[in-house]
Amino acid sequence: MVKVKKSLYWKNLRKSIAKSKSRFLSIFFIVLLGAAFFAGLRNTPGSMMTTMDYYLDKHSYADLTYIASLGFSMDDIEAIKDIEGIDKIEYGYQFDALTQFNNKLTGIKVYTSESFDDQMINHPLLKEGRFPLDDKECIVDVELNKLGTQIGDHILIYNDQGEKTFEVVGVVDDVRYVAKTDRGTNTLGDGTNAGYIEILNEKNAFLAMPQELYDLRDKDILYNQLSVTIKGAKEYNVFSSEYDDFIENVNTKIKSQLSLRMSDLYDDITSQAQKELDEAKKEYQDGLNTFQSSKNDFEEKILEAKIQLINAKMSLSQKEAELIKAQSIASESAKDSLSDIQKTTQELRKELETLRKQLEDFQKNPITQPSPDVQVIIDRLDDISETLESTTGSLDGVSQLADANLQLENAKLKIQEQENKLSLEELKTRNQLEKAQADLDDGLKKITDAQDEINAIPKGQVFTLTRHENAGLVNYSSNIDSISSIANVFPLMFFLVSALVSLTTMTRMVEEQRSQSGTLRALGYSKWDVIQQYVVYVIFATFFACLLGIVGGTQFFPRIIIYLYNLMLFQIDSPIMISSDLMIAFQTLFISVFVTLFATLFVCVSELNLLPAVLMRPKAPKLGKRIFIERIPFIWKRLSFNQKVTMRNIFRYKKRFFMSIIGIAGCTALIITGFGIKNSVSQVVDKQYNEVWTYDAAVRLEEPVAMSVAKDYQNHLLKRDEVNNIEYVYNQSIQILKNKEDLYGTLIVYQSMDNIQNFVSFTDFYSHKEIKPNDEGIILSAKTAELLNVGVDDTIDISISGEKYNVKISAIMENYFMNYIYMSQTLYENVTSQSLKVNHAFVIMKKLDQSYKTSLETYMNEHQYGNLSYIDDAGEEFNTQVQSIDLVIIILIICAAALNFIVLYNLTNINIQERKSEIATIKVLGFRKKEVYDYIFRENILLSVIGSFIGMFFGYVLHQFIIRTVELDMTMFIRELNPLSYVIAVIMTLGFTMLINLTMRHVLNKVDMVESLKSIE
Amino acid sequence: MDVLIQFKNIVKSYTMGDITINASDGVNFEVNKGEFVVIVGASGAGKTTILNLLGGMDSPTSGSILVDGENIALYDEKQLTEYRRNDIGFVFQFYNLIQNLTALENVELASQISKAPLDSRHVMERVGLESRLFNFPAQLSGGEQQRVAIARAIAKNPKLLLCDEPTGALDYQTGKAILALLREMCETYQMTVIVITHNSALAPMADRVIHLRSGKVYAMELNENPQPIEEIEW
Repeated sequence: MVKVKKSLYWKNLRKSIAKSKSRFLSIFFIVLLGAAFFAGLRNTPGSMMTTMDYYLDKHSYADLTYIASLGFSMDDIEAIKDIEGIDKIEYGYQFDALTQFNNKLTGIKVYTSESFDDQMINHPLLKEGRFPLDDKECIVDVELNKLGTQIGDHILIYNDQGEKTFEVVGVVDDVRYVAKTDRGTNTLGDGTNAGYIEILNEKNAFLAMPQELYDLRDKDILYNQLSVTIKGAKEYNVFSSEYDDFIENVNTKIKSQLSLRMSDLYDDITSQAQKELDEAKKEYQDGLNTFQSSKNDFEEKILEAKIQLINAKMSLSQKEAELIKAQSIASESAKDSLSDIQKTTQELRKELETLRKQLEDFQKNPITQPSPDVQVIIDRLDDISETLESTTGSLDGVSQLADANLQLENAKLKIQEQENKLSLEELKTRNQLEKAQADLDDGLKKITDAQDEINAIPKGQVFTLTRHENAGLVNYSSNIDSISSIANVFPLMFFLVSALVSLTTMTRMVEEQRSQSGTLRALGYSKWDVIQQYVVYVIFATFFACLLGIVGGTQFFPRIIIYLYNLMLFQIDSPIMISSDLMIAFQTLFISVFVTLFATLFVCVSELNLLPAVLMRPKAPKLGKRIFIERIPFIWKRLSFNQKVTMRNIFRYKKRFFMSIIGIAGCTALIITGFGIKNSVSQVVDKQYNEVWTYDAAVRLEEPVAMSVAKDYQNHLLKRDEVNNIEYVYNQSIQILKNKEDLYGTLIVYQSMDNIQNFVSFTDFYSHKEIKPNDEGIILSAKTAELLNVGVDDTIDISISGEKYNVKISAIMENYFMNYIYMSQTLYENVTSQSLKVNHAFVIMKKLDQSYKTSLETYMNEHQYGNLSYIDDAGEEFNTQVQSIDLVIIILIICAAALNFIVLYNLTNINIQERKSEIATIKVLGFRKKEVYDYIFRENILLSVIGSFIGMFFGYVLHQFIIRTVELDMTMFIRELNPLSYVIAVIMTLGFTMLINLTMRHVLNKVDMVESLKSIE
Repeated sequence: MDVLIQFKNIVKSYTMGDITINASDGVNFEVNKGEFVVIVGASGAGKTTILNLLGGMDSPTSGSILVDGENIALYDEKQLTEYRRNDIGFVFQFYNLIQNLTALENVELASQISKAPLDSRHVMERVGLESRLFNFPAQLSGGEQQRVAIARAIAKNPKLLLCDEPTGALDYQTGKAILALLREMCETYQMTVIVITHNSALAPMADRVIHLRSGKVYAMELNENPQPIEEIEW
C-alpha cells in the first residue's frame, strides 16, 4: 500500500513538473541564482585568500624579512640560525639605485641573492630568459620589461656607493610584488621605483652599504637583508590571524636575539671611543682646575696690591687735607696781620697827614696854632713797627707750608708710579689667563664634538617586514574586506526576491490545482498528504537548484572576480584556487530551501484549509476591486482608459506587486550603488585637490623660520612672474587624542584669515556654506569630527610635539583626505604661548603650465626658499587606484540585470499564464499586436517606474552603507550620491524592462485565441 | 436583400500526427444583411470551425469567405485583426468578461478600439443594465454577465454579431431572455446576428437556419415568420 502510494506520488510529481516546466524552471532558476550569488560571493574572499596563499607558498614567500641598518655579519646569522621554528634563512642585500630609462632618471629597487634556483626563498617566476649565473647579470621586473628593457640589454645602475653595469638575462615576477604597478618608494631620485632588478650577492655587496659601515663594524662581509621562512607556516593562510600568531611567535625570538646582538655591537663600537673621550675630559678638567686656582691666586694678589695702593693714596690725601687746612689757617692769619698793618698804616697815614697839616699850619702860623703832638706820632710809629714785626713772623709760617706741599707732591708721584707698575703687571697676567681660558674652551668644544660623534654612531636598527608591511598584500587584503562586506549584503536581496518568486509561483500552482487537491481530499487523502505533494515539488525544485547554484556560484564568482582583479590590479601567477566553505554551503542550502519551503507551506495551508467540497468547485475569480486611486477623482479622471486598466491590474495582485517592486527597486538600487560608489571614490581626488585645496603647489622649508624671514621670502616670491599668491603657514603633524587610539593629523596655522581662504576652501560640511575663520576655535575636517564623534563648540585635545592642548571647534569643514586642523595665528599663540614660526607655504600660480612650473622650481632651488611640490602630480597616483572600483560596478550591474530579468520574467510569465483568457479575449475583440503588448507590458513599465523610484531610496541607503563600510580612517569618500547615478540607474532599469518586454512578446503571440476561449479559468 | 456573407467550398483541415481531419469539408452558405441566423449542429459537426473562420480567428485551408464582398479567406493575420476589430462582435458561452473591469469598462474596452462605436452607456441601457454600470463581473449574475458581453459586442457597431452557445452556461429562463435580447438587438440596430448552438429547438426563432453535420451544410431553411423566443419551449 505504502509502495503504491509512494509510486503514485512520484508519478504525480513527474507529471506536475512536466506539465509546468516553466513554473518549475522559474523556481529552479531563481533559487539557483540566489544560491549562486550567495555561495559565490561569500566564497570569494576565501578564494582570494587561498589563491594568494597558494601563490606565496609556491614561491616560498619569506614569512619574515629583516633589514639591518648596520648590516648582519655571519656571526649574527649564526646566532639566530638555530632558533626553533626557522625553516630556512637566506641572506643578501636590498638597496635603492638609480638608472636611466628613456633618458629619464628612474629609481629602482635591487635585491640580491646568494644564488637563484627554484628552492630559494622569494623565488622569482621566470617569464622569459634564465636566472643570473655571474655577478654581471641581472633579471628584471616585468614592469621594467614593459618599459622597454629587453633580454640582452645592459643597464647601468648607480647610487652613493658606486655604479655597475648588468646584462639583463631574464624577466621575472617576484612574489614580493603582488600589485601590478606599485613598486614602492625610493630614497633617491624622485622617490618612486619603476621596478626592481635582482642580482647575485657575489661582488655586488659594495653597492649595498657604504665602506664606513664595514670599517665601523670591522667586518669584511655584511648583509643587510635576511629572509626567513618558518617551519609549518605554509599550513596557515597568510591572511589568517593564526598565521600572524604563528609567525609572531618565531619573530619575537629572532628579533630579541638580533636586538641583543645589535645593542652589544653598539656598546662595542662606542665603548672605545667613550674611553678615549673620558680621558680627554679628565685632562680638560685638570687644566680647568689649575686655571681656576691660578686665576684665583692672581686675583687675590692683585687685590692686595691694590688695597695697599689705595691705603697709601688715602694717607697721602689725608696729609694733603691737613696741609690744605694749615695753609688756609696760615693764609688766614697772614691775611689778618696784613690787614691790621694796612689798617694801622692807613690810620697812621691819616694821623701823619693830620700831623703834617698841623706842622704846616704851625710853620705858617706857629703862634696861632698849637704845636703838634709829636710824641703821639712817635708812639704811633713804634706801634706800627711793632705790628709789622709780628706780621712778618706770621708770614714766615706760610713759607714753611709751601715746603710741606712740595713734599706731598713728591709722595703722590711715587704712588702713581707704583700704581702704573701694578696695572702693567695685571694686564700681562690677565692676557695670559685669557689665553689659557681660550685653550680650555677649545678643549671643551673638541670634547663635545667627540661626544656628539659618539652619539651619532648609529644604534643598529633591525626592521621586521611581514606580510603586513607588504603594500601589495595589504592592498589585496583591503580588497578582500571590501568584497566581504559586499558579499554580506547583496545576496540577501536575491534571497528576498527568490522567496517572493517562489511564493507567487507556488500560490499560482496551488490555486490552479485546487480542484485536483479537492478531489484528492474528497477521496480521503489527508490534508498533509496533499500539502506533501507541493512540499516535495518545492524541495525537488529548490534542493537541486541550490546544490547546482552552490557549485556553480562557487566556481564562477570567485573565478571571475579574481580574474578581473588579476587583469586590472594584481599579478598573481598562480591558478585560481577556489576555497569552498562547507558552512557557507549549509547556510545557502538552509536559507534557499527553507525560504521557499516556508513560502509554499504558507500558501498551501491557507488554501487547503477549505473544505474539500469548496475546493472542488472552481475558485471564484478574484474579485475586481476598486483601487485607492479611484477614490481620488482628481487623478482617476485624468487617466486614459488604458491607464485605468493598467492601474487596476497592477494593484489587483498585491504579492506580485510587491515582488516586482522589490525586485525592480533592488535592481535600481544596485546600479545606483555601483555608479554612486564609483563617483564617490573617483571624485575624492577632484574634490580634495581642486575644491578643498585651491592652491597649486606647496613649499616645504627645512627649518621653521620667524615670520619676519617668511615675509621677506614672500615678497621675493610675489615678485616672480609665476606666482600669483603665497601664504606662509605652520604645518605640523599632530596627534588628536581619542579614547582608545589617537588619530594622526596635520595642524595648519595660518597668519591671515582673509588670505588663507584663497588657498583652502573652508566649506561647512553640513550646510555647505562658507566658513568664516575666527580666533575662537579651530576648523576641523569632517571625517575627523566623525571619528572623534564631536561637533561644533565641543573641545578636543591635541598634542603638538608632545605638549597637550585643549582647543575648541568652531567649524567642521569638508575635507576628504586625512585629518586636518586649521588654526589662526592668534589662537595658536594664545593656546601654546609661543610665537609662530612657519615652515610651509601654499602657492597659487598665475598659470599652471609646465614651463612656469619648471622655472619656479629652479628658482626655489637656487635660492633655497624650500622644496616645491605641485599638488596635481599627487592626485594622479590616487586616480590609478580608483580603477579597481570599475570592477565593483561591473559586478553590481550584472547582479542588477540578473535581478531585474528574473523578477520581471517571472512576473510577466505568471501574468500571461494567469490571464491567458483575458489576453485571448482582447485578441478576439480585435486588439492589434502592439495594443496587446501594451495591455500587458504597460504594467511592467509602470511597475518599473514605481520600482525604480523606490529603488532610488534603497540605492541611497545601500550606497551610504557601502561607502561607510569601505571607507578608510584617513579618507572620506564623497557621501552624496550624484544625480547622474540616479538618472543612469533609472534609465538602465527601464532599459532592462524594455528588453524583458521585447523577449516576452513571443509568449504573448503564442496565446491562442480559440483554445483559451473554450474553458473557464 | 443584400448578401453579407458567402461561404464557398470551405475546407478546413487539421493535421494530427499522420491523420488529416477535415473539420469543414466543403461548406457553402449565404447570409443576408440584417438576418438572424442560427447555425445548428451536434458536437463535432463543425460549428466552432465555422465560427472561427467567420470570426477571423482562423483561415480556411481552401475556399473563399466573402464578407461584404471582401474575401477574408485571403487575409493575413494583420488584416484579420482589423476585420475582428471593425466588423465582428463576439458573444461567448462563458461571457469572457475582464474580471478586473466594471461592466461599463468592459463595454468601453471594446468600443474604444472601434471605428464608429455606439455610446457605451446607451447600449448598456438597451441591454437593461443601466443600474449595474459600475459593478464588477463577479458581482453580476450569469445572465447579467452575458448581457454585458452582448453590450460589449454591440457597442463596437459591427457588421456581424457572432454568438457561440450564448445560453450554454445559463439557466433556461435567463437563456431565453438572452436570446430575446439578441433578437431585439438584431432588429434595433439592423445587425446581422449569427447564433451557433447545438440546440435545434432554437431554429424556429431564426430568419435563417443552417444545419451542419460532419463538416458540411446538411440543410438550410428560411423562416418567413420566425417565432418569438417566448413561444418556443425546449
